[in-house]
Amino acid sequence: MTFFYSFQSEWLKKKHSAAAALVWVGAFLIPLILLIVRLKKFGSLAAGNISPVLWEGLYVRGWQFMVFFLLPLGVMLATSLITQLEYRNNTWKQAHTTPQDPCILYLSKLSVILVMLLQFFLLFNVGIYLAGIIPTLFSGVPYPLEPFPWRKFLEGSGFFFLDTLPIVGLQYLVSMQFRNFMVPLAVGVGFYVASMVAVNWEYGYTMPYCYSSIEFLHGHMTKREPAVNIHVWALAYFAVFIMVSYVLYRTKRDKS
Amino acid sequence: MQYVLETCRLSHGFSRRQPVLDNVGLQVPEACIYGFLGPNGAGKTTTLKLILGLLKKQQGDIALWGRPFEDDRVGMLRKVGSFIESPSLYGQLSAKDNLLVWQKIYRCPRENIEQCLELVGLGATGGKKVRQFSLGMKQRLGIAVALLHRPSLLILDEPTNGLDPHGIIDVRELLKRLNRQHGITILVSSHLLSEIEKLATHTGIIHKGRMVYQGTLQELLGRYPHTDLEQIFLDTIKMERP
Repeated sequence: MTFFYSFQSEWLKKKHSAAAALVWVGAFLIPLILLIVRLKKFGSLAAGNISPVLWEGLYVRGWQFMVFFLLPLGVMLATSLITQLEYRNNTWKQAHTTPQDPCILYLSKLSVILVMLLQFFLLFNVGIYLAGIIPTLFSGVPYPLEPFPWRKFLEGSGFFFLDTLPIVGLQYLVSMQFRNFMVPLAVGVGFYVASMVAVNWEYGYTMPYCYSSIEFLHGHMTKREPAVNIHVWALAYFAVFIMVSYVLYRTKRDKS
Repeated sequence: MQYVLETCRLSHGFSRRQPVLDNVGLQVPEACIYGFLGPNGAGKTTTLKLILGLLKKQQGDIALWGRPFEDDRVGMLRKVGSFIESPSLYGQLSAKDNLLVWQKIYRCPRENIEQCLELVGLGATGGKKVRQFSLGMKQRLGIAVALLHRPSLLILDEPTNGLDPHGIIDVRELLKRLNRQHGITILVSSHLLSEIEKLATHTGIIHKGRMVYQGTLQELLGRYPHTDLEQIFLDTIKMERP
């Protein structure tokens, strides 16, 4: 019950914050671009909407831009921004003098980030759906013939969610430790660049920021089976980062 | 005598060579207004942070309502309201939303939000974002956060910083009222000696990490008739200088 109230409090803190806006902007940006591209080629819209691979096409194009750029950077920024809310507003001291176990505070803040990530994936799928059906508002464009593959979309998003967890874990760890927002940002960008370089490397799966890229490449581009189960690796990295982060958080000498 | 708050041989240092606090024994009686005085860097904020568990305790004991703080940290914090150094507020939220953040944690009645805002004179701020508030308004909202759950013990570190004379009087009267009408024990640190003189019933003077005086304000003033608190304070810390 304490966790529930703590979560509510943490959820409220992000109201009107940059992190909350980032979820909405990030989720709808690519679907909006896809929609604009589709509307620009107005002549081929009707044929596109009756194509049996309409949703597959939108899914692949949408995730292609998402996994290589927006997703890692967005997760990195949102996680750091949520944690930095306390530093920037000088509120850690107040949070740590409230009647709640620090463990609850730590977990509820992390849970807010994870729920925001789920919200982001859900909105992205809604955006893709809208990119498919909004053109039907124009005369002569039929409703998509193929039913929207919710299951495939949600399953795919589920895997991308798992693959993004190490980014959440490490960004959470770093941004909980440093008051300066540039530190988590620099660490995140450093890991992101390293991951992009290593994504095609044989041992690329050891890089914690490249699982969503590997998942996409494996599923839609190279079709090459990764050498290991990347979802298990992603979960393991997440667990390690979160545990190390918790130990560092609990043993901090100054909690103000 | 039963003390609401008591520290015993509280020592602390940020490095081994230079202790910030040296055997501080603070005794705050029930239902008093305890003025915690000291020059800048004397150790006031460090003492208050240690009491609230914001700094890891190195040496000594802290007891609230006669029991060690570590025994029931969560239960004790439920009865404590605090304001340390500067107001802790979320700039992108309104005053009401800021209080709602803490109301969720304390699980106190929602009506307390409006009442606290009225109490500190911020009842009419509506949806205005806190980042647009003046320093004085932020300070008053910070006090409202400390009062939200109707604590039995209020720990305030320089609560009148940044307030204009009118605001200082308002806060002083508010604290007096809370103490008299609701029996709230208040520990307030300040460098404004005249304020402490008008507000406190008890006082403690800390200098270079050591308590140099502790007792009722009346007793302190009685020791040096025809002298104001400012002079007494200066004389007291001068005597302690090596």
